[in-house]
Amino acid sequence: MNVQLPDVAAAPPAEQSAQNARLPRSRLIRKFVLLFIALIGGALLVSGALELWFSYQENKTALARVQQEKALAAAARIDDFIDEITRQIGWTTRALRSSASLEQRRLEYLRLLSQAPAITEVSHLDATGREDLRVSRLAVDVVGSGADFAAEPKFSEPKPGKPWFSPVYFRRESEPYMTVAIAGSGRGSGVTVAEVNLKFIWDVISAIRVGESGYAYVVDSHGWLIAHPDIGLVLRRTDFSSLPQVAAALPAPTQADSDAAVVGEDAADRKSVV
Amino acid sequence: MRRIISFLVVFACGLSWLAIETQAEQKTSLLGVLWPVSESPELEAFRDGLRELGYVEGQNVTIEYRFAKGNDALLPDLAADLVRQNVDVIVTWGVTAAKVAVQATKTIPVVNGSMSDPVRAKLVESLARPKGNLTGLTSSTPQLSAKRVELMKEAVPGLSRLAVLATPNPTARLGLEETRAAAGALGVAVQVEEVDDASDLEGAFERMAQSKAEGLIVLADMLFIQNRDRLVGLTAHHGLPAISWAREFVEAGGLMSYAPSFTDQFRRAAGYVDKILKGANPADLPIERASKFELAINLEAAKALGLEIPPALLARADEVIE
Repeated sequence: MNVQLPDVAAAPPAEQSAQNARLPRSRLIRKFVLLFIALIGGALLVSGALELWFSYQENKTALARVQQEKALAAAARIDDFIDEITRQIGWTTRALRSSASLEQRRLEYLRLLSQAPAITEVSHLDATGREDLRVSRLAVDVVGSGADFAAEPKFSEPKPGKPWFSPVYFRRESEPYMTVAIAGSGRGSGVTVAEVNLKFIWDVISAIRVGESGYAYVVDSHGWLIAHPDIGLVLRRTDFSSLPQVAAALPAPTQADSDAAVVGEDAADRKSVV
Repeated sequence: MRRIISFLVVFACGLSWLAIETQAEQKTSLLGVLWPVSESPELEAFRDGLRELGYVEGQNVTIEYRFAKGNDALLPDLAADLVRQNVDVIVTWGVTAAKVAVQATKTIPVVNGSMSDPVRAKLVESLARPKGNLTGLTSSTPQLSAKRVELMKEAVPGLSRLAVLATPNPTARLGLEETRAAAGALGVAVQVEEVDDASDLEGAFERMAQSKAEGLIVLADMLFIQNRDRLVGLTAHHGLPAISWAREFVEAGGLMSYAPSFTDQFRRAAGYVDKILKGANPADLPIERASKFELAINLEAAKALGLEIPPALLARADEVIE
């Protein structure tokens, strides 16, 4: 925009001298005003920009905190899910003395299956690590198969009061599973082994929303996706270990999968929580 | 003046773009339901699933229903009709209807809430990547056949002769193989009665009675859902304890059923439809396996048959109808 200034050159010659006397002062005022505007404007601009930057940073940390809390809440809920199942298996093993007959044991295992829909199969290993009972939702129940599991961690690892959790594995290529093994309380009472279908934590995970496009997902200790609102990614066995936030969240390979909470953005640029 | 005109032009463009945008958002989707039986709880569960995702029938979604009412021969014409209507997605149930649907169209996405084994039926390449226009959930129904034999043996102590009600459909064929293997392992003789339609049922039951079958397994065919009342009547008339692949059988007064929860599966199927309407390609949507299984027992039917249901079976039951 052009600022219309008084046209000095066009002034009539008669007033020339008087004009000349006033000229430096008006120029000075003009300069002064311009400088003043520039200074104040500049200061306002800088402070505004600073404020904007600070509030952006603040929002970012607040958002990160919210996401972290959501992630921790998700982890807590998954922990609850696993705890609940472990508790249910615990009750079943406690209800059975080491002298319990196979028929009694089978009845208790069937009750366990009807209480915990996520458990697909329960089996019992005797004191020597041989399977004497297997109850399943899908296959025919087996009594006394005698299969030897003595050398496997599901028999050697669980101690009384200290259940053993297997790494997540995939059954029939697409379904994430975990083995939970609990030792019986009495001497020689063997081990109860349950195969848990982790698809059941999907409902927990899908319900977690962060803002408009945020969501939660869960990976195992190797970075394999086990729960995600887009179940298709899980069924296709997606490896998330290359995502930086996942890599950062994956500590020593022995640690449980659900304890870390990290905030990051996934490939689709949506905020995500691990 | 020129400025004013150009401003008006830009303004008008903006307005029309906005109008198109809002229209696109209010666009109603057209779904085609190719249903092998009559209206059923599974269909209701599907609509529930749609509602949970924000689709209201008559508002932002219109559903065209085509019911085959247990007659598979009607399916091709019904499917062709839906294709002519140019529906956005076809929703269906069972591997037979799935086959008909993908024969009718290679472009319209087909979502199946429960089919036995689409890989074996050569309908999809793999469960993880179907690669065609068919996706949805599997039922694992034939794989549960062995479990049904076991449950039957538990309900009828000393069971030695088992009748199997089958049809020529591939799911029933697959189930028959599994049933034979399981019965052989449990030392039970098998007598197969294959029927083509409901009019064969009486004759089949006469033959079962003649050969003194002590239990009956009903294999997977929509015919047996559509004609459940007749089936239940025949089992009661001949005093034959039976286990079916569909819960509807027990609700109609039959003794037992063991199956995935089809209502749960069709609620999930709505999620597939939602994804496809939002632009997902069915070829990339993995087929989900059944994970919730239900044993239903009708104690009234047990009483009428003079059967004492053992505690192990009751402990296992997810639903007991008294």
